[in-house]
Amino acid sequence: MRVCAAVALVSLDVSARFYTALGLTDLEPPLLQRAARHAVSVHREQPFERQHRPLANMRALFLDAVVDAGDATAGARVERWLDHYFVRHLEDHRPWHDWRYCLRHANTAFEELRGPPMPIVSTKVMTQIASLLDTADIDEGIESIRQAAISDWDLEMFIRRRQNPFDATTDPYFSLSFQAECFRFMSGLPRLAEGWPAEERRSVDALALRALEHMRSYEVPGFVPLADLLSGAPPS
Amino acid sequence: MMIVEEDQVRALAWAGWETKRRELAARFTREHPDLADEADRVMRFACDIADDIHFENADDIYALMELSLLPGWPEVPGRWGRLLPHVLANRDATPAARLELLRREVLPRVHEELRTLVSPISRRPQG
Repeated sequence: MRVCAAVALVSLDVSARFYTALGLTDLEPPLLQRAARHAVSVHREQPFERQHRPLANMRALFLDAVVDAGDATAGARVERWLDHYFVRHLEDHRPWHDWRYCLRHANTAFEELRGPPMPIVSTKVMTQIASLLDTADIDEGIESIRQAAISDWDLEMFIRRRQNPFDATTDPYFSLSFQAECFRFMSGLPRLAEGWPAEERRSVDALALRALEHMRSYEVPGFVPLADLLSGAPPS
Repeated sequence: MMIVEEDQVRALAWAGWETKRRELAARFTREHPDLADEADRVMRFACDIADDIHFENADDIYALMELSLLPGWPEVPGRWGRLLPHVLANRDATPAARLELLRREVLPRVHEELRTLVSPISRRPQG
């Protein structure tokens, strides 16, 4: 189901405008979209008795189509995106979402978190974190596609995947913006943290923990320190 | 203090539901006088579907009744006609959102498709 959701997302006309933001830069947009649509169409048309292993089928169909359209390197990079960056819900790559929420809370409720002992994070690092979490451009892009006409392909995919752009809980554009926000954070944080001295990293750790304590309603069973999070970062 | 028994509550609810059904049929007759004979059957069929797909609001159920005007309903032919039931049956979305998607995106495509499906036959030379 996860791979089906990923390939469906890649196949959309609205996604093609966001491939870079989604983390899909390894193939020309028309080629990548065609590969995804080929996989969706073949998967949909295969006989019922062959659908006992839909995940494996869809994955192979899509990656084979990407290799056919590009080369083995493009296939490997799209496969890395599927495994390491595609996010269907919060349980996919959970520690990254925990960190995203903590840093977002630390950024927006910074004044409320003050009080001894306040972790000292430099203004430069806080500015970098704020910039990483700023998704105004993604929100604007999503708003503009909401105003545009829905293509036939997209509409059919929304309907078949039980999505509805007029409904808050099944909104397909939410999946799109969620994916773009997650990719930005998962690819951006390791790059930023590379430039932070060890002491600064410890302060960011402490700040995230302070934010976590402050957000009592947000349950995190196994919050991982920044170093552990970055050691499990997707290969760049 | 007046005590209302459980069976009386059920009877009141049933009476309310029956009134709503009669009003739906009457509205259909008013708006489609040429189909007055069909109003009761259309209303009952729409109410059965409404029950399955969790539509409760009278206007939403009436929208289902209007769909019965489509040729072949509920098995409307064509790519978009076949997707109509999928939109309605998506209980993850609110009834209002399902109808909005139908009205704004799906039904215009259904009508367009029906025109192309029907027109070759209607253009066939007579006699």
